[in-house]
Amino acid sequence: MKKSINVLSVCGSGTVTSSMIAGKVTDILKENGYNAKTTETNPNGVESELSNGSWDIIVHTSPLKSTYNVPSINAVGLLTGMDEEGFIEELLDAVSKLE
Amino acid sequence: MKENEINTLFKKELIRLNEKFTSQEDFFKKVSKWLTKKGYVKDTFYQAIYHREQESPTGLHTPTFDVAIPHTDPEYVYEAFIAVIRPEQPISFREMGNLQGATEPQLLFVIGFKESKDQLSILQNLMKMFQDQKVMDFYLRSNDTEEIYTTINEYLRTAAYKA
Repeated sequence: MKKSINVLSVCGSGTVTSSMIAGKVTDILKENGYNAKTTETNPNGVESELSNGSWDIIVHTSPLKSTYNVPSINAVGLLTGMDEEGFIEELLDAVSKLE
Repeated sequence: MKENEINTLFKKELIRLNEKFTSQEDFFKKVSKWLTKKGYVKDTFYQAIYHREQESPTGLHTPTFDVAIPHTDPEYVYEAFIAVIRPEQPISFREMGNLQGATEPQLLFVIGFKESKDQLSILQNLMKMFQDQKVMDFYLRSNDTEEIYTTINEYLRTAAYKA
């Protein structure tokens, strides 16, 4: 099982809400025994980030431009507190499947 | 977050209650006009924020009621601000994070970020505020701009201490 997770965090600006969710995702992963490395970008930057690095998971608050070969999870619930548990469950499920 | 940072972002003159808008486009046009007139944003702000909203919608379902937090890049902003607008009728906004969901915001926070990273904490506290039934109900009910202004400032200042 993979213990060090590379997270690509995506929002419209590539700075504001992506930073908020990146921080929370890092905390959640830490609490569950993972290390996380996060990078923030906007939807237009996803393609080049994916081709230039190795990413385990995408979390996003802005709609993605395409479907990618990396599991992606909508993280808006982390901002608003609406179904935060659902997000955490989905995140942990996705990282537990990484090899 | 410093108290003066909150005071400089929220301004009484940027709280508008019971405003009439015919559409989301009309909302952005009118709000951009106010903000341009008052010198907060460049005249390219309208195009930028309207376009951003189509690409990355900002409507949110919250535990209290729907809100929206439209914003765009710092390059269109002269002076950082948060404008609070309560439309007479909810305006349709698409939901943040996906291209299908719809929201009907009853309260909109138009945010002008200057140095994005610095204003993260205020956004975090806004999110906390959106979950607080008591203050959110008050914002819908009250017609007193002064009182709403004071309550938001007070709330964010206290939330900042707790955080």
